[in-house]
Amino acid sequence: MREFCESERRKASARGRLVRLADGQEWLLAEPNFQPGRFGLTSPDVDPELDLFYEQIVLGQDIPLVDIIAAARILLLANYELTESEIAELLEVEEGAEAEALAGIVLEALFGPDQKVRGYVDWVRASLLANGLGISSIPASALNDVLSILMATNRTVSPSRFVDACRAARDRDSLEQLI
Amino acid sequence: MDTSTSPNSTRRDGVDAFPVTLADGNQWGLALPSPRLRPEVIETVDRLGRPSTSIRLISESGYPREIRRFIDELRSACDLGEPDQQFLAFFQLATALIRRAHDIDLKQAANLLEIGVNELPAFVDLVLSVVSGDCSIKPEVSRKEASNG
Repeated sequence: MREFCESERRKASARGRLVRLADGQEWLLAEPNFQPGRFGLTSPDVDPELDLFYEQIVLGQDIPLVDIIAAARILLLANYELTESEIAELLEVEEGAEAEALAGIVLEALFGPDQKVRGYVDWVRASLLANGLGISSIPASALNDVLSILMATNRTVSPSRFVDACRAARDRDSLEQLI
Repeated sequence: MDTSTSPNSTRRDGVDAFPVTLADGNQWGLALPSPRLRPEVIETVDRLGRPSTSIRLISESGYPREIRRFIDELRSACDLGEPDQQFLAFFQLATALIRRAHDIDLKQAANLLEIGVNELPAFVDLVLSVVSGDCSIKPEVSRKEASNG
């Protein structure tokens, strides 16, 4: 059996979600970037898989394992230099719990996690991205003004509706008022 | 050993295992070979003649690469005829088989494999029969029973 190691094959640009594959090591499954372009939306290109999985989820159909593995292959190749036979060694699974675990991580990589703790940085980032300010560099001294205007003009939600700590504080205050 | 590391509480779902009584007197499982789905890339061309790839899954019986590596190491150690390497490779394989069937750490698995010298040959036979799939003819064999047999 030919040996290969995660760290030796990792590309410098590798990032994403850790997933334990059939060799027992943890590998990084790329998280695609979304940027509308002339030919598609995602990089690495998982547009067909996103469409297919979205349709199947909406229609309540099972997603075939072969499609999950095909998507995992694309996400793995975005982060590593691997041959097809090495990819096959890493992505082989047993039907059942092992295959379901891989499917869960692939879907999470493509669509984001179901449950995510959202902090202040998530709120600021989402607010700026949603308003086309993703490439702007804003000094800290001006950030509150920008966010205030975005909230005042209904172009972002208030942190109390987005940041988990703020939501928890609001719930606590409501409870204290009741008591 | 506390109940959090009992065979039942640590048993992994969906992994077929062969029962074996280990050093703590409890019946644990050694993971059996199982059908695994392996992707194969098929190079095709689309309607316009452009290269395209598709994936198909091939079913094979065996272990994941993590365990196949230990089987290969044991085979190599046997070819070399070095007892120390054979012991090491064998116990690496045995702990990997236990840990595939049970969610326990390496130290816990190693503790379960404290085996007397007299019992070792029968235990080796048992583990090799599990790996080869031959053990299915024996419904249940403990380490003690194996050593007596």
